[in-house]
Amino acid sequence: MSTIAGESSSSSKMPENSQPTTTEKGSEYLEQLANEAEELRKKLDQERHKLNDIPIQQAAERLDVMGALGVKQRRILKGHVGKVLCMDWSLDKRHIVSSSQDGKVIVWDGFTTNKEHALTMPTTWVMACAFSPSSQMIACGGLDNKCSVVPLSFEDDIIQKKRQVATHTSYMSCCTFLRSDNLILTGSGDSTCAIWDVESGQLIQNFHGHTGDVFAIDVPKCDTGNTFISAGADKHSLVWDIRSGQCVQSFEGHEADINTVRFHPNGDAFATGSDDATCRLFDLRADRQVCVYEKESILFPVNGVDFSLSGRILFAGYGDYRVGVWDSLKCARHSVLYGHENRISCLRTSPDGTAVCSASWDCTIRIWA
Amino acid sequence: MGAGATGLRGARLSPEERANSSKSRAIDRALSKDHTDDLNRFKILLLGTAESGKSTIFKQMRVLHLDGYAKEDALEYLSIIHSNCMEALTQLVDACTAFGINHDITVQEDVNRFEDFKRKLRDPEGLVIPVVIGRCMDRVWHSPSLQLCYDTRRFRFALLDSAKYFMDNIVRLTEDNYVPSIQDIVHCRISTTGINELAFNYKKMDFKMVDVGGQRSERRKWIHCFDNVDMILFIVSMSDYDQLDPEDNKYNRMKQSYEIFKTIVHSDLFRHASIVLFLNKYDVFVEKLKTSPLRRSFKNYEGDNSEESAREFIKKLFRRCITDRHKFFVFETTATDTGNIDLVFGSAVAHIVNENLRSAGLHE
Repeated sequence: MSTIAGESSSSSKMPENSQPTTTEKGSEYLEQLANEAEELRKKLDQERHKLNDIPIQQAAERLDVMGALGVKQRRILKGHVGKVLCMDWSLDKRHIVSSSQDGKVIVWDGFTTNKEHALTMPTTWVMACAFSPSSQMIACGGLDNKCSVVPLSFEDDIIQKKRQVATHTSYMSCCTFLRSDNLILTGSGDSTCAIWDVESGQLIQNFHGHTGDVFAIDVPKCDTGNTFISAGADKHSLVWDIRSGQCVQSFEGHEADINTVRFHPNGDAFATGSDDATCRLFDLRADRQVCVYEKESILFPVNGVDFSLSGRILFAGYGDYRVGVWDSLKCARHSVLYGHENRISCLRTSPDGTAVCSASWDCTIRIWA
Repeated sequence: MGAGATGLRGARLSPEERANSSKSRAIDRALSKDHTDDLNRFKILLLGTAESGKSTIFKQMRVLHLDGYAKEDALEYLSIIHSNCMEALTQLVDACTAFGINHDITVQEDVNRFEDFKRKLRDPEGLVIPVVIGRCMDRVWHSPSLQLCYDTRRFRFALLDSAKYFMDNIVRLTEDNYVPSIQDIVHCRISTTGINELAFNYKKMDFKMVDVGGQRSERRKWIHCFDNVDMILFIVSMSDYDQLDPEDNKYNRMKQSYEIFKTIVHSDLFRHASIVLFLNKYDVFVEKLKTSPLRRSFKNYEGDNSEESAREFIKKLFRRCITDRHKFFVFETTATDTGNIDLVFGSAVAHIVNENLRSAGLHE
């Protein structure tokens, strides 16, 4: 900085008899800092632009157009009587957990459509649920501001074994286990994310940086990474260093709330879905947005996104009851999956990539393959 | 495909598959029963701006329709009540300083003792006021300087609504072995966090009341969870008519309340719900009108400053938002008055039940 704090460079040019007041000095100094910040922002944009050598669509021109996928609705899971708000696959590639507005958390066998467990949560509005890596427990929570963990067994009343793990100061919007059954990552309406120890319920690390509710979090598929992403009402996606608790990258571009975020299978990029009716692809190495998946005819919010196993296909669940299938490299919509009768609230690809599962306000969960 | 789909293996199921299918059907039956029970439950969503009295109404429902508060439950409120007492006296003493009201020497000594106690407080969470400090606070409260400040300036500074109640009872509240009474609990103020649910039975009907006052985040993202409620109970603090939002001094708090009310009643989510408006803190409103005319805050108000005229203006203001008049009911309330809430809640429920019967063609 060219001048010492409090000593505005312009003040030395003033006549002695017209010394500026403290408030004048302060506002002048603030203006100077704002200008300096703007200059730095421009420099950053220039540096980013240098990495923007070629648009992704142009790079993908030599690729063949994707053929017909033959994706159809293969299963429909009925049983919830309230809007299904969230779902997650088990790593065994077969079981699914779902949570709904009626306070029920159901564990399904996605193959036979059988219900294996149905838990009634004490607080009705369960906005998030997740399977643990071992598939031995589930985590869930919502408007009670808490995240609870329930070990799964075929004993009579497993809800009695429910443990409260996390407590936020506003609703819990999303949760996921972190590499093992021992750590859980949560996102909340209190604008923070946090890592908790499942056994003790102790807070391990807090992540402050969002200026609005956090709606979505995701952890890269590869076990070695020490990062995760979060996104929310401030229209920003933030990349965090788990060990330091610091935000290491910030991405903007969306014009409304970001509802969903998913890492690309290679861990170097991620996709987001927003109330602005677009999905966007951001590259961590290029430090910028590389693609927007939008059409003029799409007016509804995106509530769930996920990649195919290769990352070539991006599935997006919309508020207009449809699942959009996008070619992630050519940035063009490939096809649309019809079936739901109300807005899609959540969408997940199975761990082995053989199926896509969507949850909806029509009280059903549908499996597409 | 239903539970235990046989499409993949023909009709032959292994014993294990048959057991799984049977268990799934049992879960279906349990879910169906829970759903039926839920449909028979009258669901009420409690909404309103901060400090409008939502939690007080909620506590009154527990007092009126459940067993109230057992000794152990009541004792959980002890430190909150003591904290409220400290806050109320602090606000009054600070106001005296701000308005240049001086204390007598003996009163000043008690004020100093009180301030000293406050300074030495280790754990504000588990606060318990000793008997000797309680007596000291009582003397300060009854001093001419504080009474003058309260009587003539109480609407000109931030003061706990229940300040008078707590200060009048400070000796009792700080006695050894004190157990909070129902009225003490109803009057105490604590910021709600999260969500509170209450299930109770009233006139052979099952009710579930939900207070979401503690969720101060993006309402648009979770309000849809309540699209199945039968009744919105919206609480407006009438005494807010001349108050500005502490976080943004440009906005009148009642106008803010009106804007929230408008978005709620116009929302498609609640098109099937009845709307009940409680114009709360009516007693404070009546007192306030004497020193703060309604026209000062609402330039378009043309009536005189009488209680009736001012009340009707506020009623009309909120009624303007309503399209379906058959599903809208409005009542003046004083949330700390158990009898008043009992009467008003009973009346609101009766109105709604009759209206529902009428719309179903079962009532003349």
